Amino acid sequence: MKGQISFVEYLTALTIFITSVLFIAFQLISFIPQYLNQVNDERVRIDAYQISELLANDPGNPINWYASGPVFRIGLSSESANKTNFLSLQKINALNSYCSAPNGYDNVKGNMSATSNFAILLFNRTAGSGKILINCQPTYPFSSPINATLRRIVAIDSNDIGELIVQTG
Amino acid sequence: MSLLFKLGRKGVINFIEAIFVIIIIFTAFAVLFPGLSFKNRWSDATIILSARDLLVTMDRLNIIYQNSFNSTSLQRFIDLAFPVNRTSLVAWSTVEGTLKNMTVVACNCSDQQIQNLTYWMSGMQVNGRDASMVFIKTKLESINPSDAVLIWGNTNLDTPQIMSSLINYLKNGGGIVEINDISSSSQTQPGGVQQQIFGLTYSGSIVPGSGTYFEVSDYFPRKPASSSDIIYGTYKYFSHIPAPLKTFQMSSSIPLETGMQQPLCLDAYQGNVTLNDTSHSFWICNSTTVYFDANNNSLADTPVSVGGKFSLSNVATNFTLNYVKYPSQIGISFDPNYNFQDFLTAMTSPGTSCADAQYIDYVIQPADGNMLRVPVNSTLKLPAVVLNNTLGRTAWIADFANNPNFNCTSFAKIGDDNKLLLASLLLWASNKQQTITATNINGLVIPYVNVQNSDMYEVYKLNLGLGSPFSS
Repeated sequence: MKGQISFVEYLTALTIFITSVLFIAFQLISFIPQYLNQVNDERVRIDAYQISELLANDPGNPINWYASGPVFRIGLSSESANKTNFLSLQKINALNSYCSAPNGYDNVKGNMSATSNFAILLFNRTAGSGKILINCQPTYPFSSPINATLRRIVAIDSNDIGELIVQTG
Repeated sequence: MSLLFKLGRKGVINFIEAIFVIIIIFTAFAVLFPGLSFKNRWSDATIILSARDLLVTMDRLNIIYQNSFNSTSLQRFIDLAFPVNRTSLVAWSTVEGTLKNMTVVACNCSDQQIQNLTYWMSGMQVNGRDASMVFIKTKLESINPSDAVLIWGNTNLDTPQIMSSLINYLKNGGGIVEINDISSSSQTQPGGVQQQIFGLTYSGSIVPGSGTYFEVSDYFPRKPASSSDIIYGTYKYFSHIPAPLKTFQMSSSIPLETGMQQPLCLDAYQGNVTLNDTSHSFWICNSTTVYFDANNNSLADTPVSVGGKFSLSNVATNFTLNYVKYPSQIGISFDPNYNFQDFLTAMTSPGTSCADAQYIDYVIQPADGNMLRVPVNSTLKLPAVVLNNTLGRTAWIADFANNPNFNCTSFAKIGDDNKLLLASLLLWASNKQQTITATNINGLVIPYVNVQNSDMYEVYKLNLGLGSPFSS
């Protein structure tokens, strides 16, 4: 009888094997949605950072996009100073108007090459005024909840402190 | 159970083994496949981004220099950027590599000397901010917490306790300045401490020709070759930091040379600038213009606006008026080619009371010095200042107060040039790391190198920390 395994031993080994396979499969199955969520969150954060960088540190294309002609990319950096974190009040006002126009948000979204929906808010923080300089967000509800908020502190060429808030989702 | 009995004891053992194997396998799984979690440093990244934005924005608004040295204005700016009711971020900052707002000097000197030093160095400003000095008394065996030590007078430093104390002080980032005359006398030759710490070596006597005790001229022998040159700091501070000159009396009007128009002002305040044994008066009646008596006839003849250059008779250099703090003080800076004519004099014979031993009868090494003395009509070269950074920043300077023209120790007549030179030595030697706002909170620190250049080219590192009191 040596060399033969008992039924109980066979049953036990089979149980252990199946349990192990199920354990690993369960781990993988539960991991994938979390992983995809995390990837999506990263993408949304990247969008938030990209939008904030474009607004804070890029003059746009053309650099005087607020003046005339087609707009290829929107940036708020003052083209005359050409310094990081230094925004042009003229461009700030232009973006606010541009976004408020019909289909304005969608145009801005296209100009920013953003894949996520976003909301852009710019507050004047000088002397604690809190005046809203830009309020650019979709007229329709976000398809997914906002899950990335980025605050940037910037200087405005009117000698003011601005708080730029970019929310993406 | 009946099956187990049929299988006998061997089957029972296998069953128990199986249970053990299952436990072991699941334990191994728990170790090898821990619960999956995703970690990112988004919160750290946003804090770093916020700190960088704060620094750059302050720079863009031209308030970074002010905020670097003023905790109140820095906090006010941060409160504007991050309103306190919307954030739990706490900020702190440190500054490295430049003069402190207030340099604490532990002085091993008399009460009278401390009183004079405090008056001379009070109100010192550079680039529009405070760079004052505070003098506290100390023993050398146990030095009080400070940024620099000043030893003024002929003190016996050659004890193991003092040697150990000074070396430890240097190791901890402080600097030492000694004001002392050294002579061939065994009591006043450079001892072991002065040789080791200050780099002074007695190398014999030199006596100028009998009866020839010349006035001497002291000057920086060269421009520093680079910022790593040992004389760079003192040279730069001496020629850029404005000497603080105080007014001492009020007058109803400014006594002007004939033909000059009296300026419109309520009250005029008079002060003196003393150089090369000569005091020139000045008057201020507003915050923009100073009237100097350049030809020393007790009448104002040279109106100078802030930022303007001027010269004074018997002084072969130009000065710049850096600021006016009406009614108490003005600041003037010296051109780098300034020659000290009254730094030391030797008007009396060796051995006579008040004779300047420094000049008369000895030579110390290194003779290349950092400020050379050249007696008129002689090739005799003796150092008036010796800098050393072997163990730490130390400076020796001949005792400019021991001037026979001023009854040896008449502090009131010590030149403003000598005071400024002493200030430049103390500031060069001092510890330059300062905490503007302190906190024990862990967080992230972002460095930012800033440059300011109104009175003096100043490069420093501002470290701005941001953190949350509830994070680890």
